Amino acid sequence: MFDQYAPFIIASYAAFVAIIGGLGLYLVIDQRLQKRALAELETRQPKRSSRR
Amino acid sequence: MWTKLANPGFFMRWSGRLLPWFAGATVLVFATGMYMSFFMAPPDYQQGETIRIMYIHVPSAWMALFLYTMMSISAIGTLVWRHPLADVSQKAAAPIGAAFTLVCLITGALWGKPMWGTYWVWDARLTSVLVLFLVYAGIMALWRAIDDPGRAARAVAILTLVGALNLPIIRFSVDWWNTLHQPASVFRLDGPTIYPAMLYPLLMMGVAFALLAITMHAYAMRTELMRRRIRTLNILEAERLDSRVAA
Repeated sequence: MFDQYAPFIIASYAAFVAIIGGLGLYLVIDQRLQKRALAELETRQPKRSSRR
Repeated sequence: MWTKLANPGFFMRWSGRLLPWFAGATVLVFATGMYMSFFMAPPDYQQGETIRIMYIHVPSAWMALFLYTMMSISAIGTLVWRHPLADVSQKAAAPIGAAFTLVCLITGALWGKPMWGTYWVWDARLTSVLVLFLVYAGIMALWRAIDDPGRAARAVAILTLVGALNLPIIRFSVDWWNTLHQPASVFRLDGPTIYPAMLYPLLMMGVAFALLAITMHAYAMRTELMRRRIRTLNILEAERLDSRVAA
């Protein structure tokens, strides 16, 4: 399959998977970290009491 | 309507609902596009099987330009209307645009070697795309260099608009100069010149890449909004501690 050009075609698709997959993974990890930090901070916030 | 859409809370609520659908559509269209590219599209009569590289190289180039255009519109939104989501959109789009530009450069080099006999030439199209990648990198560096998000957004918006001058150069470089890169064959005034059996898989991959870019962008925007909320809460907490110490 792909004749003598197989290394170039496979390398192209591998580069795509590595770069876009790597970015996707970074985005997921980053959001999880931010979610955790936000949840922690929100629990530390003082509760608002209603005034009459 | 715009005021309502500009609300970060509204964006978080709606993007949270829509993102799973976009992610599902991306996987579905990607799988279809890959099947069409590998099993339905014929090899090129001159370039042979290397034409398979086109199905990721060309959509990557489209996304690199699409995301930069979107960043330029966001930059205007930041500078002119101070739109609350404009700089969030700009910041979230930069690494995604840079990634697609890098894919375009690498796959182009890997396609160039068997077809042109070289991985790289300082040709107008290749060089202007490299400049685009460097501009993306500069924008990402500038975001990190300035602590205050408001000031960073304005500085980045100016840099983004200066960098936008490169977009028409990329688009028309193949017409203005004698380049090794082939001229446009899809988006032409007289219609596409590419063989339909190759055009449809390419368009399908274009849709898949667009869905992927939009999904990643909305996801990254949500993360950025969380980061800003954390910053605000940290400032509030620091102020509260400060007032306690002062009392």
